[in-house]
Amino acid sequence: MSKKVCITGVGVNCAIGNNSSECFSALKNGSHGISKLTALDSIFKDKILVGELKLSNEELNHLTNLKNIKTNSRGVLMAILAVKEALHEAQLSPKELVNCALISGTSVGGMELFEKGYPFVLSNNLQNPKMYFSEHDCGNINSKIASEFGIKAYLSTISTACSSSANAILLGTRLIQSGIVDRAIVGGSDCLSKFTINGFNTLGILDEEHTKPFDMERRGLNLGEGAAYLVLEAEEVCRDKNILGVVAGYGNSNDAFHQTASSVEGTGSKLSIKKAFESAGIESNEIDYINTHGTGTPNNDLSESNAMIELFGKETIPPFNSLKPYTGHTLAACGSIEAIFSLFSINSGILFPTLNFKNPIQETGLLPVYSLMKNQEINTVLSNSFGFGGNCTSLIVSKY
Amino acid sequence: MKASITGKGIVSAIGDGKEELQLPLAKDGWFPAQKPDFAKYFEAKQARRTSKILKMGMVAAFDALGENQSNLDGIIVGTGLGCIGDSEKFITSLIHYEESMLSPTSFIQSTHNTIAGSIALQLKAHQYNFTYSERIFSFEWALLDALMQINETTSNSRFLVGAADELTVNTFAIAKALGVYQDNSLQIADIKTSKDSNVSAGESACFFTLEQANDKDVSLHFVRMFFQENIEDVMHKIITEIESSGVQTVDCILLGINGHKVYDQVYTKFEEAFPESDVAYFKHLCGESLTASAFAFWLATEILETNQLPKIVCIRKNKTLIRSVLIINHLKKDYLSAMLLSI
Repeated sequence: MSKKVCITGVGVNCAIGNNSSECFSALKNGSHGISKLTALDSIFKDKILVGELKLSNEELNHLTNLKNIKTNSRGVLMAILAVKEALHEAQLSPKELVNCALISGTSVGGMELFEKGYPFVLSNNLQNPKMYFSEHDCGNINSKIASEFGIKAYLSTISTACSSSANAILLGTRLIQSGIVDRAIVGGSDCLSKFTINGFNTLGILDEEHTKPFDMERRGLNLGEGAAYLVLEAEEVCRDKNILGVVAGYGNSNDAFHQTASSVEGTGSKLSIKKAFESAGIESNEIDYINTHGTGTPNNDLSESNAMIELFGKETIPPFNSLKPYTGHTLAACGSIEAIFSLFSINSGILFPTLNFKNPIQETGLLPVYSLMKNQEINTVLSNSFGFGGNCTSLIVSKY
Repeated sequence: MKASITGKGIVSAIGDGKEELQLPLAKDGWFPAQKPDFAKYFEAKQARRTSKILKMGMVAAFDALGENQSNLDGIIVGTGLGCIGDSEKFITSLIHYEESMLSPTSFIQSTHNTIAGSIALQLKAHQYNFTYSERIFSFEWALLDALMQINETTSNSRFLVGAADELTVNTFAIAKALGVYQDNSLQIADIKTSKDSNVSAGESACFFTLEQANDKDVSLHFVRMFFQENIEDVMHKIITEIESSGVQTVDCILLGINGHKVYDQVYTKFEEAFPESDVAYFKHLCGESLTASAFAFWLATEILETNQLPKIVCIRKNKTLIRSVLIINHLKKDYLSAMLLSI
C-alpha cells in the first residue's frame, strides 16, 4: 500500500456503551450488554437474549440533537450519534466535510419501521405511509447523515450482510489511496428488528443462553444492535492530529459454498485474509492479535478456526478473541464496531477475554484469549467479518 | 480512468433488448420486466427456488458473461431496494403466523447481496464480491468500483458489474402512497411532454463485463455522483470532467426524464448546456426505478455500437455520427449522476 490511511476519530454505540469510552470500560471490566429483549413488540420479548443499545429513540433524539433533519429510524439515530462522536474527535471543518466521502454499511436499513407498517399494507389500509416506508431503504441512513452534517461528495452504502461495515472501511481506504478523496467517514449501523430476530431464529442459530464463541458447546449467536463510524484521512492532511491507528490492508472474497453457511475449510476467509496480508505487504507472523468474526455458531467458529490453523500454523496462531459475547452480533455494524475495539487493544495493550469460553472445540483444540491480558505489544491486528452470501472481509489495522 | 464494456445483458420491460425497441406493455399499473429465459442457463428445479429478482439478475449476468464464465476478478452489483419480494414474503408470514413456524428460505434470499452471492455460488467465483445500495447511485458505485480496480492494475482484469431492482404489487402500492409513482394502467405516459407528475414504475436487471480499455469496444470514462449540490456547480464539475477525459465532443446526452414536470426541468438545463448534441431519453422503455440508470448504460452502449439513435428514444437529432454519450440521471434533484461513454 502506498498512501497511509489514518484513523483520526471514532464513534461507537452498542449494548455495552453509548460512546467509545463506555465501551472501552465495559470491555476492560469484562461486562457484557446482553439481556432479555425489551424493546420490540415481539413474541420473543422477555425471552431471547440480545444486545440492545440501552437508549430509547427519545433518548437518542435528545443526544443527537438533530439540527437539519427529522427521522423515525433507529438505525439513523444510532448512526448519527456515532458519526457525531467520531467527528468531534477528528475535528473536520465544514469545508472538509463537504468533500468527505460517507460510506455506510447496513443490512436492514429501516426494516423496524417497514415491518410495523406492513400490516396496513396487507389490510389495504395504508396509513401514514411516510412514517413507515420513506426510511426503509438502505440509502436512507446516508441521506440523513449527509444532510445533517453537510456532506456532498461520494455517498455510498454497502449491503453485504454481516461484512457491510468492514467493507465500508475497505472502500473508504481505497478511495483515499486512489486520491479520489482525502477523507472518508466510514462505518455502519443496524438496529434490532423482528425481521432479523425471526430470520435468525428460523435458521436455528440463536443461542438461548449467552453465546460461547470457540467453545466446544457453542450453539449459536445472540443478536445485537449498534453503530460505529471511523474518520479516515490521508496521512498528508492529518496535520497534528492524534492518529489512533492506520488501515494498513484489506481483502474481500467470496466463499461460494452456500447462501448462509461457511465451508468447513474456510475457503473464503483464507482468501480474504491472504489478500489483506498482500495489500498490507506483511506476512502472517507480523500479526499480533486476531479479532475474529467469532459468531458462536458451530459452523462459523469451526470454519474460521480451520482458516487460522492453515494460515498461521496451529502452534503459532497469535492471540485471538471474539467480542460478540459483549455486544451480540450487530450484523452489518460489527465490522466497524470491532475495528474500533481493535484500536482499543492497539492503544492500551490490553486484549479482552472471550466471555463464556470454557472448553476448546474438539476438532481444533484452539484456545481463544479467555482472561484479560495486559501490557501486550499490539502493533498489527487482523479483524475478520463474514456474511451471508459467502461474503468475507479481512482488515489489517495497525499502530501509526 | 477508462474501462471497456465487453459484454452486456438485460432483462427488462422491453425484454432482452435484442429486438427492435418498442414501447413496453403495462400490467397492474406499471411496467414489469418480461419473464427471462431462466432455463437457458439453469436447471428447472432451480427455478422453483429462485425469486423474480434473482432470476432477472442471474439471466442478465449470464447473458453479459457469454461463453467466458471464468476469469472474473470480481462481481459487483447495485440494487436500490434489494430482494424486496422475499423481504415482503418473510414479513407477511411473520405477521400471518405470528412469528412462529416460519420457513427460512425467504429470509435467506432477502439479503441485498443475494444476487451477487448467488452468481458467485453458481460460478464458484471466489474473488471480490460487493453489493451497493445507495438509492439511484447503486449502479454507479458498482461501475466506479470496477473502473477504479481496472485502473489500479496493469494486467487485464475482468469484472461483472450490474444492477437489479424488482417491483411487487405491494411495493408499488407503497410507492404510490408515498407519491413516488402514478398508476399507468393503459399505456406509458408521454413522459417527455408530461404536464403533471406522472411517473411510471418499472423493473429491470442489467449486467455488463468491464475490462481494461481497448480500441474496439465502448469505453466508460467517468462516473460522477452529486448529493444536494446546486445545479450550476454540478454542471461546471461535469464539464470539467468531460474536458479532462479526452473526449472531444459529447454527441448525445441521454437523460433520465421520467414525466415529473418539476423535476424534469433539471434535464432542460443539460439540453441547453449541450446545444449541439443529440438528446435522447429512456425511461418510457424501462420505467422508473432506483437502478434505471443501468438501463441507460445498456442503451448508451447499444447506441454507440450501432452508431444509431433509435427514433423511439430521440428528442433532438443534430449529429450524423454518435461517438460519445453522456448519461444524466437524478432523483428529486438531491441525487444526480453523470457517466460518459465513447467508442
